[in-house]
Amino acid sequence: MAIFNIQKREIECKIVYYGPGRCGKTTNLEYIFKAFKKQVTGEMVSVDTEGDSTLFFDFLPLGLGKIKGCDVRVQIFTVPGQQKYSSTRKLVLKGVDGVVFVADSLEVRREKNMLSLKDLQQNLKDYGLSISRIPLVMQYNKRDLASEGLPIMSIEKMERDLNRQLKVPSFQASAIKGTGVGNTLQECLKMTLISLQRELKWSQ
Amino acid sequence: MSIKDKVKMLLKEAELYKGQRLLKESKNKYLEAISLIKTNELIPNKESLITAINKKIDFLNNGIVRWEQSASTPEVSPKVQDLIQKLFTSEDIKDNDAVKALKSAITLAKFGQYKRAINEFNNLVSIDHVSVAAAKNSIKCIVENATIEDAVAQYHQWVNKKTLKSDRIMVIRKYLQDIIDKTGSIISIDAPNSSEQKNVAPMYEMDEQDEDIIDITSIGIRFNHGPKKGEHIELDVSFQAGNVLSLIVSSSDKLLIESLKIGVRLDDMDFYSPIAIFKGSGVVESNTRIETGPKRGDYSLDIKIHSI
Ligand SMILES: Nc1nc2c(ncn2[C@@H]2O[C@H](COP(=O)(O)OP(=O)(O)OP(=O)(O)O)[C@@H](O)[C@H]2O)c(=O)[nH]1
Ligand SMILES: [Mg+2]
Repeated sequence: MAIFNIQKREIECKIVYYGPGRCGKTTNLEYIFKAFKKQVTGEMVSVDTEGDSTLFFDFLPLGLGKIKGCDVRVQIFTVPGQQKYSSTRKLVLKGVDGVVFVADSLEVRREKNMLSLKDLQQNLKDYGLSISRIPLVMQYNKRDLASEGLPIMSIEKMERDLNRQLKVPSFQASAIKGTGVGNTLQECLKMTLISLQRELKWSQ
Repeated sequence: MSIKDKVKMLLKEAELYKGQRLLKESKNKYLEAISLIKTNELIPNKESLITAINKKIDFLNNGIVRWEQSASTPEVSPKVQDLIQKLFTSEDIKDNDAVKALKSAITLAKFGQYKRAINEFNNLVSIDHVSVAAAKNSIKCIVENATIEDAVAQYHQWVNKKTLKSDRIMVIRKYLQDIIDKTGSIISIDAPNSSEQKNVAPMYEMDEQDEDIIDITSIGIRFNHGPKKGEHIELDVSFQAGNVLSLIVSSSDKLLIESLKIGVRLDDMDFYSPIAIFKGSGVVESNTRIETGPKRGDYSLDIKIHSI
């Protein structure tokens, strides 16, 4: 839930990167940390396991400066995608204002993508939020792996699997190279801020 | 593509999945490669090739087992714990220091950081207006992290040191006894002192400070009378404010709406939270038809948690 301080004209909102285990959420955040130095206002913190999977979350604070006379700060989190961390995943999602759903383009991860989207829908619902109303952006990650000879899904197929009903903006990406990472984040921020402006009736 | 090339490709794929740390996917590709090799006579050095691949599979299996056996909420460093408290504790300007500390400790418990959470709860047990909540949470964490016997020992320590007022300690005793009973164990805990029991209300009503303790995500109701007698239904909580839970009931479920008239007492309820299920009771506070928006026609119900 965004924190809005009318006196100080400050707003703090929360963006969460969601998606199945190993789909590249942490890699997205690492790239943002490196590439958006000007907006990054603190260290990136990763609480992960020995095997590099996210254990609790990654956290990165951003400052977007003044928007419509308001100082906008963003907390970006990634959830642990692996099945066994379902309870922490839900805790990290709490109070979310906007979501980036990172899907893995690898054919072998098709079902995991769909299960994770369903899990997102359920967890949002448990918090009284609706997946069809929350600011949400899709990212089809690991597109680069096609050139390595690994079977990846076509965009059409991924759209059909994941975005047929939601019809949210979607982006192709290769988080490891940084392609598409910025676009994904910017669209999610834009949608989140528009939604907050409407909700909080904040303007000049 | 020749068989040899196919095998090569499978092995390369397996390597790439391993590089992504997709261990199961990698293992599957190695297994596919082995079955392909087995069915083909033309591959030279079949046996040694299979042995080499099996070694790789063993390595993956080790990784998979280690991963599956690792704890899902291990203890993390104090620095990370501090950050968890800072990032995940919801603040309210009305909260005083003790309530803030209680909320912070609850955050730690939710992330499975039981040892420190127990310490923090125990430090709050002597502070009157948070004592019950702190003691209950401490007990809950000790049971999660250690044994029921440890929880009983903690309880006795509070009794001996008179850390809690007598009416409060009775509440904790009941709470602990309920946990013990649920496990089917026969441990029974002594009442502190019979003369002190007289003033104790038989049913524990939730205090103000308990409000933020648990997030209830859904509830189960077992009806013992009324039109739904004998049925058990589950409903999602759409909103929670303190100990009042709001839910939406579809207009099509007329009997259920009937059964949940204002004032109805629900004696047999399950409260599902992200960390545990609690048994308790509740009272229907309001039952109104929604007049606008997409849920028009459905009913919005408020159920107040009576005891938990
Ligand atoms: N080739 C390629 N590899 C990627 C890409 N994105 C992530 N990876 C790799 O995929 C693996 C998993 O990436 P992470 O960023 O840790 O995935 P995650 O979604 O945070 O995973 P969890 O924390 O377990 O939920 C790592 O080995 C990354 O290097 C990508 O775009 N291309
Ligand atoms: Mg991660």
